[in-house]
Amino acid sequence: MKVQENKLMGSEMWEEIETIEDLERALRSVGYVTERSLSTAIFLSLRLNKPLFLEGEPGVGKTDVAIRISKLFGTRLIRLQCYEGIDASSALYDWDYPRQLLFIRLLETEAADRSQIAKDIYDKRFLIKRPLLDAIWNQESRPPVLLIDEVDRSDEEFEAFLLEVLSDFQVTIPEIGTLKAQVPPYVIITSNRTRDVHDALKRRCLYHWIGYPDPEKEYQILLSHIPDIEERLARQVVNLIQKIRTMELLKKPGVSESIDWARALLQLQAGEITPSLIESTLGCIVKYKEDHELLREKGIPSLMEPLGT
Amino acid sequence: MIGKKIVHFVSFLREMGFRAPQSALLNSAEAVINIGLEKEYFQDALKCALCSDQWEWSNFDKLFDLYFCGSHQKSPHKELQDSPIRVEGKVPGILRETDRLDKKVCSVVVEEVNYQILDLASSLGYSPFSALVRKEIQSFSNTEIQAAQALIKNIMRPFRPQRTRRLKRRGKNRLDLKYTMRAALKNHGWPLRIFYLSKKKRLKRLVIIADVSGSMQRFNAVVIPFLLGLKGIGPKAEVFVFSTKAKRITELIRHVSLQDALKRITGETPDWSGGTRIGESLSFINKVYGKTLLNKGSVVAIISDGWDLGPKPMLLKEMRTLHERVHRVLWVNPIAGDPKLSVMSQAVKICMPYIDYHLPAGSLKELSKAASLLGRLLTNGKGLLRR
Repeated sequence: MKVQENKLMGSEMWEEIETIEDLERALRSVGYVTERSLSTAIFLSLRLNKPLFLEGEPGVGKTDVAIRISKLFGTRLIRLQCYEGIDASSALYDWDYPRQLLFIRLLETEAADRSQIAKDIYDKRFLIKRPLLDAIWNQESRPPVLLIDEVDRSDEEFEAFLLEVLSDFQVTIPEIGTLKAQVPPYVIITSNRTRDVHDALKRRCLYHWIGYPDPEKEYQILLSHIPDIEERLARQVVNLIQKIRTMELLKKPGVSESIDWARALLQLQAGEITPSLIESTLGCIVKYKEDHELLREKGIPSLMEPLGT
Repeated sequence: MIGKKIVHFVSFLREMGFRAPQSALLNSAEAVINIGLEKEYFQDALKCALCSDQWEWSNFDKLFDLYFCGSHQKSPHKELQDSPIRVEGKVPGILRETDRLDKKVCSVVVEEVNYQILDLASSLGYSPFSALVRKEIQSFSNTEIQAAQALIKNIMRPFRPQRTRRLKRRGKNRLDLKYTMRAALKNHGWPLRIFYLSKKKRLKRLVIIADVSGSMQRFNAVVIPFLLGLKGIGPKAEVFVFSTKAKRITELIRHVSLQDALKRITGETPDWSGGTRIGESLSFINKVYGKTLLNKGSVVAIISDGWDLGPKPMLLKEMRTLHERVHRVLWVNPIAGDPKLSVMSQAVKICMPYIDYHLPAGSLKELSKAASLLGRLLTNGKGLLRR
């Protein structure tokens, strides 16, 4: 779990965004190239204050949506990385036991009233805010962006627990009472579809499937992430990645792989792609031994053919 | 007016297999209020409000055009010919011979089947679905295999073992220091009540060793997806397939379908379907994976009809080794229920001393019984009666 803090960037940005085109432009300004349907979904999610459920293959930019939105609005990004076995105490809150014990000892030396001690030790200062509580109990005027990443990795019990939090944006701490979000956070939930997420959770969200981008969009994404890249090299990278995606691989390269590969090529000061360069940087594109073998078997030079090199 | 149109469109989508719950309808109405009626945005707004998975996402545009361009009354099903879904008639219970049958259609079929099964209990009327439950798997047609693949998910539902991930309180094994201290804080730091933890029960590992020779192809198309579909068991099961030699396909089937995996193996190994050699295959598995995968925490399910061409002493030796290593050995046999055919299962007869449970699984009904036993074995480590 990680809480990231961004510097304020576009404080008045939200007021300026009135249409979907505005949002599309604004997202582009923070380096996220999006298609109309995704900007519509983000726009509606922000307007209707409904969580946005993003599904898609790994590496297509689901997590990046939340990062860019937080950057765009200059708000905090609170990230809850889901994993097998995650529970409420790791996601919501916990009491700081060592500090509570120290506090008790301190008060005992001062011969404080016992009933007062019992009351004081459940003060909010002893509460450890985990990402969900942090997002709900937000004192800032602008809502933070809550990213619940890879929800499909968590257990069904945790999914049920999320329903409660996401429906009312409130939590009840027995010792303190009910805390309700003054400004509900923008919630982005991502899933890699390793298992089906329950309908009850999906019902509370707007849904968007992010697929692999078309060549033009992928080219734009590359340019926005790596402004230094030469146009010819970027086109070659995109064409090759698009071609590799048509092969029957165990794991097709996503957008993140094309960005990584382009960065690697830049580091190697490559002006253009050659078969030997592909061979030596294959690890940036495919991540399974079987896929390496398949690519080698099909012949790396054959990948180059349509490029006319 | 537009509200009414959206309501009709949602009913139309539901007819086409979309889930589109009531809340999605409200979301779509709210979305349209925010977006306006410009065609593209209107379409996108409805799409993100009404879709809930990839299948719905990929078919939405087609159905939207169909509905709002006014041609849906003619033949909506025909328009979906090129998409993965293929349906005939209003009640999609009757399946057509197709190469691809999407899970959406299957789920509709399953609902229909469930209804039929329940109905059958109170009447003696004929139902093609109940017939499917009783029919021998070996004689399934391609369509029936696909329908059965969907149906088995529902058959096994009552036997899904539930697994708890958290440590159980009120155990006696280990002191729960964290909870004891937390409770003590309410008593001015005095631990008046001591709490204990006990370790959770771990599921045993299921190791599937499936015969994929020619005679077993139809059977495997139903049985392996069934075993892998077992919640909490399937995704962590180890899968080996064998014919003349054995191959581990656990990793492969996490990424591609079983059929594609088998196609790949057949392509890689030219003499793959040269006959069944169970002994040699088991020898390979025992040698290579014996130490890592085969131990007292594993339950092995051998899926084979027992028609073996390999040397018998070797088979006996390897079965003994396997039996000594693992918790239980199950032999899932499609022809065990047929006295005429079972005579030919020589390998089963030889190996019987080392088989804990010999399970007939010729039909879906028998398979559901096998699943019940498997569920108990993997959760408690105990079955009912052996063999």
